[in-house]
Amino acid sequence: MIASFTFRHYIFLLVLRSLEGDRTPSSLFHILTGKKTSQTIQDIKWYRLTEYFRMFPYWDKETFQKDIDMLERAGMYREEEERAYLTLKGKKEIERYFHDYKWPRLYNGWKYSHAAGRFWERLALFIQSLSFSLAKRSFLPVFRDFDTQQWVKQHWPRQLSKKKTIAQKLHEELVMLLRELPEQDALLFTCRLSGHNHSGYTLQQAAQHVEQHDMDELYYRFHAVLHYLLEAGSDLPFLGTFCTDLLSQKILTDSARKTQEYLAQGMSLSDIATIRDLKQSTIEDHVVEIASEEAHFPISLYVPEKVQQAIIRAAQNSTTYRLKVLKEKLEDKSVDYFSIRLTLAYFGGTDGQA
Amino acid sequence: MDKLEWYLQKWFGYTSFKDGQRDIMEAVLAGKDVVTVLPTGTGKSLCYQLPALVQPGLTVVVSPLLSLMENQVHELKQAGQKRVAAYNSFLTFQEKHYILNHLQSLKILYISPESLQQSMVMKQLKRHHISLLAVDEAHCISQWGHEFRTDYMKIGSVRKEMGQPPCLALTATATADVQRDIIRRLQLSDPAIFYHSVDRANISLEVIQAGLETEKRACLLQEVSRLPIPGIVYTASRRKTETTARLIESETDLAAAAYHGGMSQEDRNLIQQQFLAGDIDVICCTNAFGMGINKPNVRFVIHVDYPKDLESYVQEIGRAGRDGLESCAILLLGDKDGVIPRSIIEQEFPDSRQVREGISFISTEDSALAAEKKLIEIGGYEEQHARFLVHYWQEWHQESGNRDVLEAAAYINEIVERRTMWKLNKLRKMEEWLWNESMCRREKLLHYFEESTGERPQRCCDVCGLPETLPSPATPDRKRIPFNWEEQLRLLFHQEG
Ligand SMILES: [Zn+2]
Repeated sequence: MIASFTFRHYIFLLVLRSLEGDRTPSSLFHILTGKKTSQTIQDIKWYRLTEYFRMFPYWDKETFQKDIDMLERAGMYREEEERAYLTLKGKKEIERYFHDYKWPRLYNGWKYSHAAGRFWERLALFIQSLSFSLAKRSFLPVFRDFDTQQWVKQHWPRQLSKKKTIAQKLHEELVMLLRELPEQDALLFTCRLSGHNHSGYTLQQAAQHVEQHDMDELYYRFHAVLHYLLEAGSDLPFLGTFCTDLLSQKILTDSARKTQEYLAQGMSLSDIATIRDLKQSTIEDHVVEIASEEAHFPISLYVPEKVQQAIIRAAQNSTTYRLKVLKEKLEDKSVDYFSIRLTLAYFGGTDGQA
Repeated sequence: MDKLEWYLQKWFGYTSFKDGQRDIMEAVLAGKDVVTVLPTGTGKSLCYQLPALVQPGLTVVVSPLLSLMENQVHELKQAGQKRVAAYNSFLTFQEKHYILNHLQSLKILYISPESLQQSMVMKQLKRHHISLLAVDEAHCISQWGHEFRTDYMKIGSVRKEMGQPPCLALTATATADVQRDIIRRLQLSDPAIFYHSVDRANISLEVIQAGLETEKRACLLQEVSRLPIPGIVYTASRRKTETTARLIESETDLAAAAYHGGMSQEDRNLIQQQFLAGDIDVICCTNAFGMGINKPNVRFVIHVDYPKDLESYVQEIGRAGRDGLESCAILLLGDKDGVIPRSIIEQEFPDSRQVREGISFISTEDSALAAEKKLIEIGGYEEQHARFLVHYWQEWHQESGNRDVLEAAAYINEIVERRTMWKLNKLRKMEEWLWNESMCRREKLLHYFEESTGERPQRCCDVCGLPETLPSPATPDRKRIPFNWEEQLRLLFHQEG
């Protein structure tokens, strides 16, 4: 049987190209499925992979294992000492596949995937309700969970004139934004909306309509539209109401948030570890996570400015972000791993800019 | 117009009651315990909804079907009745909290049987006046029913805790022994019993011998193309709903879609919506997961795989012809169909190794909930197996006072064996009915439910002979949505071009 590779396989290889040789296959799995651990968060920051975060949240471990086995047999991927490598053939295959690929206008899993689901639920239910209400007909709601229904209720226009205004304005805003997208993406988004003249399509049905049959890619393209609307719509008067509260939510893990509260009270890391009955290293993970998210994180309290600069220099002159390699490069041998991780997380990426 | 009729019109928009509804409501309003055996689609939910709104206090409706709860709450809300809520394990903690703290403003609370047993829920319910406890799918309480659920067994004691409010037990199908079980376990006193025939004269019954799988597919295609639409096709697995829908889409002009429990809530809602709107002609679903919606004009129900008992069969074909117009129930019978329902029955219970290991795993656990959780999360047990084990382990422990794992396992294994035999027996009754070629199918079905036959309709069954009188279907004139997204969006928002 000839192995057939699809969008998700090539995305896997593409992500692998960035952290080749530095990470295990499961690190890649966690990035693409969006597992929020300190390690994953550091990875996507250091290697600038925030865009790929949570691209395929539904990918299960078993399928993933089968997928990489298949790539390995096809000579595009190999593992050595538990680390993942891209082969020359793999590199060529990525270039071929993505050579004239039309990327969506925007996709940023790290920034938007936590908000995209709720945003879509609100938008789809609100538009459906509005469309049917103006047609004076009853309907089965697309979303019935409490939060979404409650939100729509709170934002529901009571008078007819208000309904008409909102329909007009929301329509205007959506048309304006969607016109900026590739035709197929705009079509994909609109055909999934329900209203008085049309019952929304499931993603499967939309595949037929837009003639795009790779379901992973379709899932990605659909979410890319949502991410784009979240980014471009958050400043608009009508679309903005659907997303502002969702975007302001912090993306820290619950446990890191708790650590953050203790830090704000002025406690030391070891005090927090004692109080929470956790290992010091776990608290350090939290601090690294907080540093990567908070632009105002007081990093100099933890790492002297001179040391920060030395670490950034070492990172810039290195092709890898493996901690051990970086530590060896530093002249000052007393710098610990925590300082390196914290500095890299805070400044993020390859160019040392926050 | 009297008070009941006035409310009927005000809240539900009907001008008159259907057969028997009124008698049931009057018995309920008189505070009597009531058992009703009414086929689905005959407006049985009205029998508690209307009394609930008329009476002071709260009506609690126990239902195991999540989709049914949601649909009923939604329908009531659409009709302007906001004082209703559904409480089940799928809600978030905040949602649960919100409902429990607003009980005084509710008239109807739908609740799943497992939620009803939580002490937090009971504590709040006890503070309010419960005017009626309605138990839907009441046959689940009986070990001799076709869908026994251990969490139903506790409703009797929960009712006692609530202060023994009047109880209305509803079921679509129940043989006499199941009815007796319902009365005993719910501790109903001198209940009024309303029984409606399972016979639906406007549905013709047909079994077609379809041989091997390939012949069956051809036969299915032929039937769906011949019959008036819309219709429902039942299959035994999720996967098969999808392949069947694809088959119909590719080989006929009909629009078909799959519908099953593995799909997201959003997708299921969309498919329901499309089916109601007439965008989909044929829906393919599993017989474990029927539709929670009420579409009156379903013209046919086809079974590609047969259900495990006649009770399920009657319920499933009952989705056809709720508008009273002529409809068909067709079952395609293959040569090797017996395997699937047998394996489904087997999988319903833990095997002897799972029983033994499961019991030793939970033998030191006193809380039922914790034991269940342990089995599911650590032991990897299926939810229904875990629930079953915990229930009978506790029963054993309470009655014998001993914690011997092997003795308990023997006790439970014997129950498993008995229950399996019982189910296989029901399956054999189903098969007897299927393979019978000499006796009128309607008569034989009614026999099973201990009913006598009335007048046979003209289109009765394949044994009596079915005249080809059904009108040939018109090709559906389907409006595809435009490929121009701007046009589509404009229509959606009612904007001028
Ligand atoms: Zn007959």
